[in-house]
Amino acid sequence: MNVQIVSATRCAPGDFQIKTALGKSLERLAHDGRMTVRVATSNSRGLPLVYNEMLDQATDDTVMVFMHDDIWIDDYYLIQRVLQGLDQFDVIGIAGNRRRVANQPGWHFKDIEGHQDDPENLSGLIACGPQPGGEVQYYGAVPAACELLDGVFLAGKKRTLTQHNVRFDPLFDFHFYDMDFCRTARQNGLRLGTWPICLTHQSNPIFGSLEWQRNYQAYLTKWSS
Amino acid sequence: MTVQVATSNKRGLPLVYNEMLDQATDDSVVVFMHDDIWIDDYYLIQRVFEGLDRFDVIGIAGNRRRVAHQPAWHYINMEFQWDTPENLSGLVAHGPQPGGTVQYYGSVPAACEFLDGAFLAAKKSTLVKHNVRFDPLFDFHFYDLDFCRTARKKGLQLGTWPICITHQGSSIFGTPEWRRNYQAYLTKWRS
Repeated sequence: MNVQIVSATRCAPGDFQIKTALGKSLERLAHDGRMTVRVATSNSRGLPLVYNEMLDQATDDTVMVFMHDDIWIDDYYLIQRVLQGLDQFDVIGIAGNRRRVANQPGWHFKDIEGHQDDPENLSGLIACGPQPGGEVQYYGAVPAACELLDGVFLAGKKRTLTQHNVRFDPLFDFHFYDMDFCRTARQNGLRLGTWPICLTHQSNPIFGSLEWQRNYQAYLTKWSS
Repeated sequence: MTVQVATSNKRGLPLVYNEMLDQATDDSVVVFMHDDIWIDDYYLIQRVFEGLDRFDVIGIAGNRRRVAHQPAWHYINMEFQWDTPENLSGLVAHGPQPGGTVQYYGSVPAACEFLDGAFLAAKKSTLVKHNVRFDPLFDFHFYDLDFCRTARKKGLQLGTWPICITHQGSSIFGTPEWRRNYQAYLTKWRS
């Protein structure tokens, strides 16, 4: 089975492997012959456009792993874990929320004031920091069935996504595409869940910027809440 | 998780490990680790429990077989010739910092005869019940091979489990201390 790592980066083609955390990390997975990598370099398009394009071009039996380029893969059993996770869920992530509430502005927030949801609703562990082996943030026990997953890492079988007509909506660019994707997947009957995979995320998500607000409004308009 | 470390230590690892084992509560899971290991895997505890549901003793790398006079889990003779890939199991990263370069030995998990002593885990109750301990005949070499062989002799199941670590140091083979331990090992086990 082919497990395809899909990402997008502002970096030029020759820089991805030497300048990005993901590019540097992929060498650690070279032992696993099941992995292939597709990266949109010098990218300025929204992630849904890139991800859908990669999804369309993948063979039907491909497992798709959508990742940001600022992720260190601390877990060198990544491919093995993805396949295990997709035995239990249709779409997996590394962190998420077991519930969804009206007007939710992020998977771990419960209101527009940015209050984090209660611990019993959250699932996942994510390390954060500039280098591999960052400081670990605990959200809740893993694995867990979820309504929403963090878009920093999402994986699913192409066949499953295609059969259930689950895609990324180009209405969004770099915000809310993950919330929308998860909600679409749940609406179309897929099971979402967290899976224990170790990553270090270099950057913190940006909330509240003008671009973020524009995407949030588009999200609220589309889903009515 | 609780942590017990013998600091300013010069004693051989079997003395330390047995002491810690004796002091642990009966329901403890004991994880023996070298101090030059980066734990890349922050699900370590969860994975150890999963691994010990399947095997009695788990490690991160090992050999599915044992041959006569084997001088290390991954070597088959005194020329330090590597065993063939189909006999080995495990992935271990090496480097000074977390996220080191990954070395692939073979697919994981796998039932093994020998496990690398850099990381060994078991339930205390299992070890006690089968009278499996570390032999103070050894200090920093061959204690792991001896431990694994003792465990197998007592009927325990050993196996590798997918846990990510980066090992800072390289194993040292062929030094006078290593040779003294090797001779003690051969004398004890006759091969």
